[in-house]
Amino acid sequence: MTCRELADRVGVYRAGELPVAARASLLFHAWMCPCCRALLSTYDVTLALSVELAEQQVPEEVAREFDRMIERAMAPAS
Amino acid sequence: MALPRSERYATGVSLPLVQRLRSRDRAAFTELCHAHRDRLYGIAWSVTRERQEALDILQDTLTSAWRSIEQLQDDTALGAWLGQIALNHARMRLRSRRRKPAEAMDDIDAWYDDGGHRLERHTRWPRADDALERARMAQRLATLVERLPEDARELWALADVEQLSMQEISAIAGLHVANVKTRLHRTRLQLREWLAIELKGAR
Repeated sequence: MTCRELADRVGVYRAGELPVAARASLLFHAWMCPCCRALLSTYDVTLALSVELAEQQVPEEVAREFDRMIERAMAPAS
Repeated sequence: MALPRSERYATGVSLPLVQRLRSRDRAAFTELCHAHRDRLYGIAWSVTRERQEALDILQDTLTSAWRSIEQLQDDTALGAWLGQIALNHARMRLRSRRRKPAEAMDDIDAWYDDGGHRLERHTRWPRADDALERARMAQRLATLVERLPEDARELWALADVEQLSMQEISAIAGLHVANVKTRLHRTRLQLREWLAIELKGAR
């Protein structure tokens, strides 16, 4: 496996969908290649940072206003 | 009130609800909206990353849904239908506010030599357990996302921020699951690359 091929497969690997033989090949390459080890770890960091960009809770304003929003949606168009 | 996550998007909902909706039953519509409230807000927020815009999109989504409710079919997956409406409104908002054109994504082949070896070595990233550094990196990532083409940004938002499943995204975005996965992976690699370059420049 080359670095290029590893880059193509890292998403499938992280999703747990890479067949056993291909997974072994990927892990062997990563063991040999510091650049690809870095890719694997920083790919994970990028995903983890994305999760942190989510709003943790729906704002209170939504909960408070939601019934009124539904009423407005059903109001006759002016 | 909320539906189980697995039933929100890819599957249909019991026929009586669809039939009640089609006959413009206000109680049924209210029930439907409450069941999908958090997810719709999540779609709007993750794509636009603006609270007020997300609220406006939520309102527009409910209004559009009510106005087109008679077009529902018996086998309509209601979660996906609402998600599509929310995503369309989020797209319109995003287009109207975009100040700079999106950047072209890199040709990944250009990162490698003819033998498939990586051409450039990247700098070491900050420790992932340093909370302050992580917050800075997350902020950088949020800025980099603004550079993405619209479709790439949407998939990233739905998958990596809002954490929808590939099946849910497929149903909302109208793409095959395989296509979602391919595009999403391409986007993640690009974001990782831009972030690596930013971190290198910051040192």
